[in-house]
Amino acid sequence: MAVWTSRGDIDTFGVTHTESGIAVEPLYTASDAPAPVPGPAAFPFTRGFREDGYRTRPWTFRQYAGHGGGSDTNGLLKYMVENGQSGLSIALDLPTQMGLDSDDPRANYEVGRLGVAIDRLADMEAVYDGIPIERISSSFTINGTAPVILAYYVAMADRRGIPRDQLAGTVQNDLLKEFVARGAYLYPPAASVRLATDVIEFCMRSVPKWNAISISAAHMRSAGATPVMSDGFMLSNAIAYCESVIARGIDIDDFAPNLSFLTSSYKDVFETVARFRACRTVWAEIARDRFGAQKERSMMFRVHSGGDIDAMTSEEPINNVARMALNAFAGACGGVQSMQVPCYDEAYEIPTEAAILNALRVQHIVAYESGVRYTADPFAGSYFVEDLTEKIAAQLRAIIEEVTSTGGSIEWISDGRMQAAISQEARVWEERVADGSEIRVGLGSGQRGMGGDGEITVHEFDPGAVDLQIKRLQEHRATRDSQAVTAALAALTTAAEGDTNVMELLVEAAKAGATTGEMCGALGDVFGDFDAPVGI
Amino acid sequence: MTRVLLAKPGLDGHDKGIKVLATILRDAGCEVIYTGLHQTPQKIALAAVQEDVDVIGLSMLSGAHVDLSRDVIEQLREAGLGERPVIVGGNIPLRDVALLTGLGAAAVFPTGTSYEEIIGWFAALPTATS
Repeated sequence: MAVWTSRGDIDTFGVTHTESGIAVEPLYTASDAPAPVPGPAAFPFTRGFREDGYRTRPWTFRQYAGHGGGSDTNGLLKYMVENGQSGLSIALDLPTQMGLDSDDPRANYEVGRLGVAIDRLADMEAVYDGIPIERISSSFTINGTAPVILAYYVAMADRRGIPRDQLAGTVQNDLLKEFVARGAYLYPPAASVRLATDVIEFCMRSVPKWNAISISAAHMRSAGATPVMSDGFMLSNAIAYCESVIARGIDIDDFAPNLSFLTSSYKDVFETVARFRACRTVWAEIARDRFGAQKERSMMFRVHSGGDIDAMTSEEPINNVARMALNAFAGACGGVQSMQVPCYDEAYEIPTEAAILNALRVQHIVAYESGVRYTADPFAGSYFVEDLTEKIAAQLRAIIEEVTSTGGSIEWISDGRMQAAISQEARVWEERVADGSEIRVGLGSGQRGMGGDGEITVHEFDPGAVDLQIKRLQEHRATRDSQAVTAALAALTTAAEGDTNVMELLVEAAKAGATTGEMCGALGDVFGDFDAPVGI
Repeated sequence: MTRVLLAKPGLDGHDKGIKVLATILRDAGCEVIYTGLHQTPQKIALAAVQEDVDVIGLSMLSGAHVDLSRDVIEQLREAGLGERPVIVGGNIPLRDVALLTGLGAAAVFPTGTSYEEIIGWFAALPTATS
């Protein structure tokens, strides 16, 4: 795998090699320039999808937020919208991500901590109280529980009388990467892909503007993969999902418009720009040449840039604002559709309201003050960036070829090959930190405050919100129509045992008052659980 | 040779740090057992008994490190392993370091700690030379 790992001249990293380990020359001239790339708005979409770039509309400002119960998060979301946020991104707590109700003993200490607890439809309705879901899109970082969370959202729209085709948003729903990084999966790989595919098929037929999946690189990067390696695995995983949908007899052009992607801006500005350009190129090739797509929309690598949260330092945290600005600038120059930047306090805790507002303002400053929106794909024609884009595209094709010719993503993940490749890179990175070649300005200063001694003000977890959440959940269980819930869950089980799409049954169960734990439990009774290979 | 159990309590699935630490401790001569994700405190204590380890290392990045560490330490005491050192790593604010050592953690290694420092801690253990 030497072609796409970062092993090499590690003592000179930061000057001679990009973040992913691609060698860089001190000077590029016209003789290095590849042939001019077509577009924008033409295959292979290296230069993006719009001839006017961001002139008419900037990317979607979408900071990630949520904690406590529905009303806590509702207040936070409204505050962000009032301050110029153009899309919502909901953080869900770990029990919700793992399909557990708030009063499940396994959920201990985690309820409402890293995100909002959604135990039932009423919690989703509390999050969105007074928020016009027909006019603002929402992204949910949810995977194992994605079918349930989407079911709540659709049930909420149904009850508000909003046609499903007016709903816009995203569920992450990328289970394959959960087996490799972060671990928020509930069921074995085959069942997980089946459920992810149910979501894709449901969106294609019923919620056409919804991104049914956000095929993600960022978590694999956080687990240690180089940025380019993470993008290569992301695209390999995308192929596996497409094959799963196509196996149901569905045409690529019917579902590919419901696919979206997540890969982040990292510290290396030029590599970030080139990565987004290369990903667009290679995805367009995959959609057209591998799967025979004909619609342009099927070939579009529509991407949300998560932020480089791992780059946030706890020492001298105000320095992080500079990193955030570079992150946002790189993402914008890379032509992303939607963006989140990390918050300056995220090396400590989930962000405070002040830190979220600051991150949103960083996006606004880049969008409205830097000139980044003058012209589409502003780095096009740079000898260096065009050369780097070509090299990264070649590496992506090599990774995809290696994975797909040796069993494909599902096999690579089931036997731990993908995990092992990423773990090896994590170790290489740690060695670079240890020998000083991985520079993080301010680390080692011992200064953890914004000035003066002590630490910055961080988010305080509110245990009172947990007690209230559990009390309301238990009252709900005691007062609902339990026969209706039992019947809805039985219908769900029957669908899961056969090959009926589970989504409409989840929507019905949500309306009947079933809880997250009950719905995931009913599916778990059919599918079983799973421990992914560690792959060290 | 020092036997080490590395464990991920709770629901957090971020395991880059603990996996890298596992390989670094292995290369430093320890025998390392890694539990994998999503372990309850009871399961961790059971694994510590079954594997008869000298050290138990916990990694948490969700913010629930104080409560989960307390539960693991209690379970280890009940299992008769109260004397075996427990070390804690992950996203841990400075203000929680004293809290954790007050609960009985032998050492706390927040994110950003060098692996050299952790290896140094292990090298100073009585079991390191036995």
